[in-house]
Amino acid sequence: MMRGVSITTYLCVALALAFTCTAHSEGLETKPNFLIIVTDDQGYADLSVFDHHAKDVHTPNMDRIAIRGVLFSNAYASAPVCSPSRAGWNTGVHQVRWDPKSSFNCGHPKGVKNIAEYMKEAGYATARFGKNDYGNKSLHRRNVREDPLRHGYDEFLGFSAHGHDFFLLSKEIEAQTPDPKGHSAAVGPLMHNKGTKEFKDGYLTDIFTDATIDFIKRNREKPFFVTLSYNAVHHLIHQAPKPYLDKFGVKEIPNYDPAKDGSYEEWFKQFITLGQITDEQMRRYYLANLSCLDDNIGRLLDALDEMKLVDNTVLIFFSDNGGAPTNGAWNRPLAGAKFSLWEGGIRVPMIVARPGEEHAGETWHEPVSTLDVLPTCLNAAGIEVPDSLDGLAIPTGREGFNGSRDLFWRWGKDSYAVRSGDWKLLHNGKFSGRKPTAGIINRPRLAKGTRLFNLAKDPGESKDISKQHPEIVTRLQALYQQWSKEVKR
Amino acid sequence: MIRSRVVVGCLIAVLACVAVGAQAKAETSKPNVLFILVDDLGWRDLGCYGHTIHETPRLDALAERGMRFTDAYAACPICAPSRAAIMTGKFPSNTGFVDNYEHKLSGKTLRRTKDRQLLKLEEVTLAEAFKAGGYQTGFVGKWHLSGATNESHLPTDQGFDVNVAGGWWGHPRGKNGFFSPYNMFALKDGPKGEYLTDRLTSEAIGVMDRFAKQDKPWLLYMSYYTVHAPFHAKPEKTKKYADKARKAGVKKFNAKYAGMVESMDENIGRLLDWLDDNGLRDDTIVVFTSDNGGHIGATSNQPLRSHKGAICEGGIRVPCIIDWPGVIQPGSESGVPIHGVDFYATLLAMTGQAQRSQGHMDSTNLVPLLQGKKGFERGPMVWHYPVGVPHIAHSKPGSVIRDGDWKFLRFYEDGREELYNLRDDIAESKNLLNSEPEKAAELRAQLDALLESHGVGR
Repeated sequence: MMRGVSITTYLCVALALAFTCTAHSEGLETKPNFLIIVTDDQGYADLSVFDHHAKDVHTPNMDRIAIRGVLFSNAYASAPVCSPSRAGWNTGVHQVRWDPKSSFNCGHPKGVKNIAEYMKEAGYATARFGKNDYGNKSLHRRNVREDPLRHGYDEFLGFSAHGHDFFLLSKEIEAQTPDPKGHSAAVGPLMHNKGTKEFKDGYLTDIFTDATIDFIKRNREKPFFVTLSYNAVHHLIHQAPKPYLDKFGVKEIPNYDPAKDGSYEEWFKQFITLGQITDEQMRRYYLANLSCLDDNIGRLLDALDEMKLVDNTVLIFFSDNGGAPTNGAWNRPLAGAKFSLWEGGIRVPMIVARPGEEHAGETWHEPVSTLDVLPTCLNAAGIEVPDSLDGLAIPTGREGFNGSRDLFWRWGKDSYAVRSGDWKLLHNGKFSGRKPTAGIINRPRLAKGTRLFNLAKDPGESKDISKQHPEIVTRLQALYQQWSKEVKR
Repeated sequence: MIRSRVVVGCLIAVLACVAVGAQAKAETSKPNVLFILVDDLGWRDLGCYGHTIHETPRLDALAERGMRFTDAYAACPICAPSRAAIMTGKFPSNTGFVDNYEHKLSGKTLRRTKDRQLLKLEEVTLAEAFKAGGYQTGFVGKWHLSGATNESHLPTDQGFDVNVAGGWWGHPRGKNGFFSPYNMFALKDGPKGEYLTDRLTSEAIGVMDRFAKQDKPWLLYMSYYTVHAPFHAKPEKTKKYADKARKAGVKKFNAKYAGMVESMDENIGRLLDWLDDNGLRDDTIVVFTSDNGGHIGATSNQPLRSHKGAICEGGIRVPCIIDWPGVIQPGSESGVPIHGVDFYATLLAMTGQAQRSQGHMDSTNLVPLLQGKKGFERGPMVWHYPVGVPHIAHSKPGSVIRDGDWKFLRFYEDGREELYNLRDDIAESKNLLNSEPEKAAELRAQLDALLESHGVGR
């Protein structure tokens, strides 16, 4: 009985929300605001609004965005790891055009325009909160093109690295740590505009949410463009506030202590490469971290509601790549994970919620790319979309997807993938890195080889049908060759 | 549509949380594990592996109860790295533990130093994982993963509650070798003339007796010093095998070694009898294997090529029997290649414990194979052995990859490469490098990629 009541209540709330959205959809006199929420290493199964979601996942607040917008079941990042994927979506240009090796070190060239630059030129107040990552060469550096203040953002609070300690944000800890500025493992104060800002207490996910709400409050009268790029749910995944750890039944692991733990890198490693945490516990830590992230997104949505900005704000939500093999994420029913071009490495949760969304609550299965975020935003802001982009503005109705769209990936010097219609050609030139935790479907032969899959019938890429369809293999190989030539220009 | 999905999602999530909680409370009884590692036992040295002179009735009977592997591999053609790989679930190339000793570059060649390689304390060992899983953990016998002073990196520093006789050395230290007085660390001398293999078994039985009194499952890592040199057998056994070999017309036969093999078999029989006598046989998983191939002075590994110390089949292919009562089809045989690193993930899975994939990252869970699932593939396995042992044919610095039936070898001193199809050519006699260039290129690339991912690329 209780369950029946709660379902009805929930339905009422959901319906009310949907009606509110449509009621205010007419007449966009002012420029819409933009809030882009990027999560880090979130798995394809780890968003509860998906039909295929993992049973243990519950993300009611991320789901709230899906209720307002369109959920994409076939959204792809342009790379299977953070830095190049971020370079791609931030510019709308496939990053291999300037980084043909498709590495971690793509950088952000001067000649390629950042989404924030378009927005700033159009009169938007711009801010970036959270992770800023254009590859190893620019990490922790200021006054370079990769510094957000040098590519269109008015404000920045965050870090420039693959990951950052969720708790250790003080000057004191930075001074005591022999290696505070690692690639994935960094500690100490955050970069704040032109300087730094330390936090003696606080949790990174909360801090980024607070900063975003504060910025929006200060700029609510202007059109604003905010990129909120959480480092959750990237390692160190076990770092979640205690109530969340309690909720999922896992123990608090003491923070890094320079006095007894040696280097931060060594301390960090035990959780990533030495197996201190079992797969089962890793999943719980992940769920705790994700749950905290979800509550923060809820807080943000509440703040937008309170400020009555909901009906004039474009919300776009996605993960930078597939769930990582090491952080406890799940990508089921997809195979593989981050660092690989199997679907689990590149297919990501993605939601686009535009004001007055006629199709609110729908799930669209057409392939889209995170490269499409930039042109979609330009379109919504009434800014002309340049021809030079690889991304395409996501249409406002499904009829707007005309014809087949081919998507391409390159990872390292000899791995690539092509998706054309339901077909996917996957060529692995090397091992895809780490052995994944138990939740990841790991095809036993991740090594070298060319495989063909029909994703409509076999999203888990379990049956290689390249032998049965050599003509399709040839066609997709030719498409890749053609694309390779085109991006060289 | 989407709204109802959200609601269902919530409910499922709530139910899942409840289910997880309930599961955590209901602790099922876990099986015990008796892991038996023998030193330098060759692939052909047991009756059930086709030896016609050695008598190993107890291990033959174990194979009749469990699964016998024809293509089981040690992680390294010498002791310590092979043992470290079992403990960590990582390829030696991945941990850097590739030889018994540390190395130093001298000019362009890598030379051994006198410093022993130590198994890093930060590694979460098999024993530590079992201990965390609520197991009592015991170690008896040869350890070979600590420093010369026996002050640290001992079994008791790596997750074992109990250590008997485990220190830095790789073979008995006393002047009488396998006969007391042993003059060993963590083992009191027995009466003069006592035989070490018998003694270690008695010690192991003592440990199991103590473990059995506790209401907790146990892991006993029984690591016999035998059948490593010095070749010391009981005189009556030596005589028995010398006669048997003579009658069979076999020349160049090491009768002492054969006597050691028989004592080993008898003693493993004593351990199995103890399980039977205590009603634990059906609650205990038994694993039997060797740390590398047969020694050149001890045995012939034919039809396999070469011996301990070489990355040829004779150096790395080993006997392996797994008895998992109630799960494995008794008397089954598997030709699927498996590797020493695989015991870690497999034993965790067999005992219902959580995997620690980020630790034992090269370890493949073989449970589907043990359950008899068809089409199981282990995937490519790699060896990296950057040193050589003098006087052993083909014992040169090199790397190997085996994937399916194919094996590709590379020797670093002269850059020689070899490719074999082991299904057709177990003796590695026909180098197919030139006749199968595509296969060679594929395996070469896989080997390079694997080694590169381990940080030991060319």
